[in-house]
Amino acid sequence: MIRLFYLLFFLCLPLQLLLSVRPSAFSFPLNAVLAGCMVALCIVAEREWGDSVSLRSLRSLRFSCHLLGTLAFCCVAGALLPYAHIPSDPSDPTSKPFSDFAVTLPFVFLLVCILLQLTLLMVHRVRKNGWRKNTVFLLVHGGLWLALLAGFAGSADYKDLRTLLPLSSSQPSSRNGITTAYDREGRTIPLAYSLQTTGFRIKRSPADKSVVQYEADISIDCAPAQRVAVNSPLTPRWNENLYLVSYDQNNPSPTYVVVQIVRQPWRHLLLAGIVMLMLGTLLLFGRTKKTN
Amino acid sequence: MTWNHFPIFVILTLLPALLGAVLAWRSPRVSKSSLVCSGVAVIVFCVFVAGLWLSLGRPPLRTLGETRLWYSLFMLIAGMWVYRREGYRWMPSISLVIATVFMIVNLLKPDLHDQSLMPALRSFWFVPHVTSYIFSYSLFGCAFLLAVLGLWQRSDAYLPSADRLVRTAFIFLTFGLLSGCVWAKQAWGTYWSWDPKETWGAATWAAYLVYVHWRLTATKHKKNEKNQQKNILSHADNAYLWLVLGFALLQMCWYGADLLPAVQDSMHRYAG
Repeated sequence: MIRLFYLLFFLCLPLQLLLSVRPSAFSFPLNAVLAGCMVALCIVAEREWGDSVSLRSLRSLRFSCHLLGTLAFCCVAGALLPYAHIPSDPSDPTSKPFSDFAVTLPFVFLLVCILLQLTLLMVHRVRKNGWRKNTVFLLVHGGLWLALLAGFAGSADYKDLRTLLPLSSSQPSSRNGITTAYDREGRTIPLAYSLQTTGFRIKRSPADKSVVQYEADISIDCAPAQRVAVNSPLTPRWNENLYLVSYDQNNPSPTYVVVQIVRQPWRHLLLAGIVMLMLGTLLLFGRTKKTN
Repeated sequence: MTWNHFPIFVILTLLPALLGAVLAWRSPRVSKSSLVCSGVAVIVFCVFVAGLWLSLGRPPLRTLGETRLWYSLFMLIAGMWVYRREGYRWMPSISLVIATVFMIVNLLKPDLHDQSLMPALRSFWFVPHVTSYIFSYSLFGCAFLLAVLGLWQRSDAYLPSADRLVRTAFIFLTFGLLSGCVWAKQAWGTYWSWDPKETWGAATWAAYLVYVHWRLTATKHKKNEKNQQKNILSHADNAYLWLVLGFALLQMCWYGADLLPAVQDSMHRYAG
């Protein structure tokens, strides 16, 4: 199984030169369906062939070591390439083959294998010993599984939009609201609400007058304005966050602010995975201390 | 308390720490006097860090130099802790040497220590994220020392201690990673963006995870006695090499990556 993994992994390298992965092609509901199929496949495989050599090899610690070692190698390769972290446009013929390494075929294949192994491991443990005896194991591995799945599958539904809001001290009105934003490719994306600023403040350090915080009052659909600042985003809808990213820095009296609207429907699952992983890790520490 | 007091506090820290290291060498068992002296050194250095924090009006974690400060402190703590738990008489000495090296680097290359702190760093997660990372680095540093010794002496005797160190350090590393994810969502809109620093962090995390899983395979495969001896040595060598690799990746993540062209656009670049 390990040899087969490496064979397929290295096969993905030349394929990457010919094909490209478009995350948007796997947007909801396709990503949810594929994730569900993967889980169902693993449950059926465990039930039918759980004791086979192949599945035992897939669940083995050695295979985990190989997967994680390959992950470390891919991350190092991605970190060393100067352009590998820059989001690529598959339709751009001048984009380099391994730019945005996180959506290259080899890396996607690796993530799929990691998710498959995690699924098989958890299904096997639950079938063998039940939920209660594997609480810490399921928290740690299930948390990682959920975070990886939500990040990986959810990346197809992730949208990062920006828009410019002129600063205004007048009362919000439906005539003055901004109802469109722009994605990374410059396309205009309509918003489901209108945005207006009613106030803006810059806080400076008394010692050296450097900017320590800037905040804006933003009205959504002419509702009472809410404060938004760096590290304090708004949540206009369940799947959206609104961030204050910049302002008119070239002007002593700023005339506009730049806001970022992030659509990430899978963020709650991702956060749940992070919390599970954190809790599982802390419990593991408690168990390690007792053992010592 | 300002940075101008740092040289004085370096001397006031190193003197009791040196005494503690000498007492550790001289005692066949864990010496309480050594631990007391090391504890005094840690307290003195903590006083400086706390005073600097108050005078700057912000956590001293913004620049690379300030993270070196914390690493020196945590290296002293880690050395003391490992000595107490594992009984290696040389650990206080080596951790003192490493802490001293970082203190000297800070003396020779002090960063700009002003009160400014950019808006993105004004978050609840700033202190837990950075300090848990640096504390894990100090523990991994001790594990690295054990690995070097194990490879040099071709002995698996240091593996149990390395295991305990790595398990504890990995928890802090994981907490640092995950708290960074939550903070990134709050500040930048995404939990993970494959920023070069994040990528190096993921590589470090994966490397130590390989070590943890690789060590679990040690008890899985019992062969005949002749092969078992051969396997134990090769298994130990592999384990030690992963610790060395993990430590190398950790150094890249901490400050090595700043030298690469890819990091020039990174949101994680150190100030100053």
